[in-house]
Amino acid sequence: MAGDADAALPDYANPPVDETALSIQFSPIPNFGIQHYGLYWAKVRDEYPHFQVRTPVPSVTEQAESPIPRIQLDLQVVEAPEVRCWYVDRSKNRLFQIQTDRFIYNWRRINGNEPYPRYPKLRDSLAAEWRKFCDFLTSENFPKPQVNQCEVTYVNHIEYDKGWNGYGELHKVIAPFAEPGRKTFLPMPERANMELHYRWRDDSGRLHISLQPVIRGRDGKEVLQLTLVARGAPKSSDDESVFKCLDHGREWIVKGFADFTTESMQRSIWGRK
Amino acid sequence: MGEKMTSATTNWATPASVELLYVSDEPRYVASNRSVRVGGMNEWQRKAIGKVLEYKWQLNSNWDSYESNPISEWVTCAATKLVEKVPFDNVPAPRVVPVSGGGIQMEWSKGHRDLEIYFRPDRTIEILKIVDGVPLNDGEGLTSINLGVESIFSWLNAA
Repeated sequence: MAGDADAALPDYANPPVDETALSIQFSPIPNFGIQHYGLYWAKVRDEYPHFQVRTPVPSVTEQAESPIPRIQLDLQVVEAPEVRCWYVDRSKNRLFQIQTDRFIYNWRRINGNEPYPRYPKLRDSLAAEWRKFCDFLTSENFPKPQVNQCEVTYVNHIEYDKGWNGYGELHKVIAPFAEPGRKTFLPMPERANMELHYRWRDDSGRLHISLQPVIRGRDGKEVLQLTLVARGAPKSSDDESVFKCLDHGREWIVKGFADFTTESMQRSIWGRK
Repeated sequence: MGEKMTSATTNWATPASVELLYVSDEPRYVASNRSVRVGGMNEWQRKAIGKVLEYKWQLNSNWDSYESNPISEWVTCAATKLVEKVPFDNVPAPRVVPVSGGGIQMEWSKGHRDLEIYFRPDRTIEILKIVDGVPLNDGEGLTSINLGVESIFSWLNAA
């Protein structure tokens, strides 16, 4: 259970997380079409009154031999256009997304002041919505989804001038940056982009970390975006295996974040307890 | 754009080529909040994009007291995409202003030349080239999927 394991993980009073997404990927449900997205909305509309249609995200599978996951290409012959539907709650902080091969539960900041509800709560919400969706599939005579990947994404926004001052002081944020005072030919970097990939110890998945400057969509402010994505294959499609895999991914994200960022930022800016 | 890592998040589609601007408000990431990656951009591009997103964030319905809509998703995407695609560093910083109805106008001035680009909520982009205060065209209507960004800014840079 996520709650039991939580006590051992680093915790923060003000984590820089801007959005989290918990994704369950499965084999495409045959004949799941546009009518079913609408039928499902009718069931959840009271709680999720906003609806948006989007292009599906590609199917992504971790490959044992390569840190770059396989993306199933979008070039395919389809009889009807594929869609991804967003079901958004009243606050617009929570939404879930459905497409023919994925179920994704998101929490995001909208005005920037919302407290992060914490993983155990989001996990419970995902579990409840996933169960409802599986029940719906059963009621419409669809087979139970064959889950092939679980994915946990944390997008963190590290604001400038809070504990560090520009990319010459990246060592104050990112722990692996060594020897900050060393005299070098190169001047201070203007900006930095970085991607790192870590294999899970049991080889069932990976943690991907990316770092890049972005302009935040919700307020036009430039920040350093640190995205952690943990993705791996569950042992089976049953709920216990699926949620165990998600919990494992989340553990890698939390411990990875604590390793990757500096203790001074964790304590002074993000309120590590 | 990081699709390999995140498998999907809300950002826009890849342009068909450097010369063409393909405007889509269809993000391909699992995360839903939008942010624009600015690692390789210069100062004017970052400031212009920041301004567009600030208007998108700040302006609610009736922001101009004339019942204008907020800046639409498409307008935000189109304006951001165009700025991203300008292949020159030596372009002056544009003035970015919201326009009635929920659009965005960007204005560049260099020497005797001015360039005004309007991103309209009806998904059209209009370009006005001005020399010594006199418009060269009557608002060159363009489709949203085919815009020669390089040639437009070459004209401005030739001032």
